[in-house]
Amino acid sequence: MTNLFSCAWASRRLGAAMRQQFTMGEFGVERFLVPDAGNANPNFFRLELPVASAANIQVATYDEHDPFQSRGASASIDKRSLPPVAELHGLGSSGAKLVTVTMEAGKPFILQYFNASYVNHFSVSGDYWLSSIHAGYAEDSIGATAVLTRQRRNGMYGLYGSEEYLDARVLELANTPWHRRFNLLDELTLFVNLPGTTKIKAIDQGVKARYRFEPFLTSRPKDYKTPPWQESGHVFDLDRGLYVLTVQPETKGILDLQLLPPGSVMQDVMSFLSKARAEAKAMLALSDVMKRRDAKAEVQKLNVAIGSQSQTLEIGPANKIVQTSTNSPAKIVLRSEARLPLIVRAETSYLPQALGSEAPSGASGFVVTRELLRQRGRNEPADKMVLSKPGTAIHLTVGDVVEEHVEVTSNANHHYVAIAVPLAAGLEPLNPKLATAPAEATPSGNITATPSYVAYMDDQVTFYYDALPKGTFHFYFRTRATVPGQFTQPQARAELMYDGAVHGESVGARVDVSAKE
Amino acid sequence: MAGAGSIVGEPGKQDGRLDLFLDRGEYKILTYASAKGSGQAKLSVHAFRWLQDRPPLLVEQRLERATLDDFEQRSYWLEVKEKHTVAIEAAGRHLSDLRLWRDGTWLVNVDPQLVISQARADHPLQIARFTAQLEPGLYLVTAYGGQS
Repeated sequence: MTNLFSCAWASRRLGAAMRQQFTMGEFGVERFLVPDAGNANPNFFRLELPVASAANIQVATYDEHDPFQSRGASASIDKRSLPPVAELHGLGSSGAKLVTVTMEAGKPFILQYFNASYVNHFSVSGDYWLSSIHAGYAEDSIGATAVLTRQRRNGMYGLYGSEEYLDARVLELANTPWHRRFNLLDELTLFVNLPGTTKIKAIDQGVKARYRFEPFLTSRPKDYKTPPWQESGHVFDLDRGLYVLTVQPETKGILDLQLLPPGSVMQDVMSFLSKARAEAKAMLALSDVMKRRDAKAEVQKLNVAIGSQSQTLEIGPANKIVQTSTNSPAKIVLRSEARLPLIVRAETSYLPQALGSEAPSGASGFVVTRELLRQRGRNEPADKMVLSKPGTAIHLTVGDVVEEHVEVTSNANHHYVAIAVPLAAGLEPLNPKLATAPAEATPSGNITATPSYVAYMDDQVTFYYDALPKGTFHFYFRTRATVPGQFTQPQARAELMYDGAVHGESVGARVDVSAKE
Repeated sequence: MAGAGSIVGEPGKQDGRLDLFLDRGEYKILTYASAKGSGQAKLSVHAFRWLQDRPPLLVEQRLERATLDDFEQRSYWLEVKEKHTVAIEAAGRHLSDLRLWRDGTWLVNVDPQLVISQARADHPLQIARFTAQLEPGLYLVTAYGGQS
């Protein structure tokens, strides 16, 4: 038996700022030498993994006589880290730095570092190019806004003058709504410019957060009072000007945030409101009936027989609404002894007895169909498996790559649509947008309309649209069979996020994954 | 004359094995039985086998990959053009020692730090690393195989 052996000398030398993917070598430790960059010396270091697992990043001032040192600031990732990221902030020392990354051999990781600073000193006059670098994936970020200010110094050793506003790259909130879905891991600020006096409504979904708008001030007056935090749904009444919006999370996670000027609120939820109005009319009619009953002040009786159990409900001024319920399936017979008409509302909830793989398709505003394309060798056509009947069995082998194709037909223009495609438990989604994604993660088909956001979760892939017009849309992504066994593949479902009555589902299916021989 | 070396092995539990750099001369090997021990003891001497006739040059920051088994040794030339500190790290399942030889003949007084890496849970690796401040010249880095 031969035994591998590796030998190397010196650490890898990197630039003053970078973001790059590496693969952990067989030593299980990688060392990087970051040269001294003077005023722009990196002070922010970030280690990212595509999947959570044990990893550590350590940053120390480089000592030529002790390049294998194990001192310095460190941060770790473990199997439960969400997101799988370790960051080190504010490492202010000067000189070259040694970055040591430790993790399982053969696994990919992304190392990013740069000088994170709110203030830069310029001692030579002239033109400068200012740009910003962002940590992590841009699609997980809220987007950067910035206000540029200047403080002049009186001579080389003199005092700094007052702070002057120079320029800004901020969120302009006029009459159009603003919507972002992003990772809220810490308190964040966003600069917002309002061209006129307006009302802004902040609406969120996902993790719980609170909000505060403050006018942008280079220095606060002595009697300045910080406005109180507000919850989602609050309408901020704001004058024209530049504001700082602070978002404070109660828990870390994904936040879906909308800032809605008044016009856009009406426009975007028009369909929802029209339904709400219809429901309101029905409620008002019901209220009229109840008021008339109050006037009569007479108790009405209703006999309710649920199976062999019978009871008489009394409805009157004291008990305008009477409820009864049962957990068992039974025939219900109502016998009214009332002199006046009564209104009865029956609500039934249940879980289907059949497996999810046997679920039939459904269409109430959307029609959803699904097919799987098992990938074969390069330049070979894929095996197409159309799911036309509930319970169709799909046979795969561990390692098979499958392209999911979902077709959604919408009969009307809709706002806020979610198309969720759950996976059988033995399959894992392949996210082509990850820097570490293999070539086979990219589907051959193109998504018809670019989604506002796509969530590649372990158990499902969900496409979100702020607006989805009438028509037929195709969705593609790939999965890999990873665990042998028999699994249920639930229905793919399209629905309006704020009106569950408009929905459509494909059929359920069964997925059999066999072990590789 | 270096005097008596250390005693290795434990009767009934572990064979004794010594991996030594020996200069030209005569050496005496003493074997000890346990208090109640009797029978035959087996003694063998192995020379480490050179794996290359011409060791390659070790290039800064470039990882070299090869094989190394028990009773084998693999070397790389290291050229130091000006006085500075070098850091060398090697890993292997059967790696037991890593040494530096000035001009390939004089052993430099640097002891490697030996650690076990769990970079792959099912394949523990022996890692040997050292740091040395070296004068300009040619050095031979030699890795020695041992029991895994």
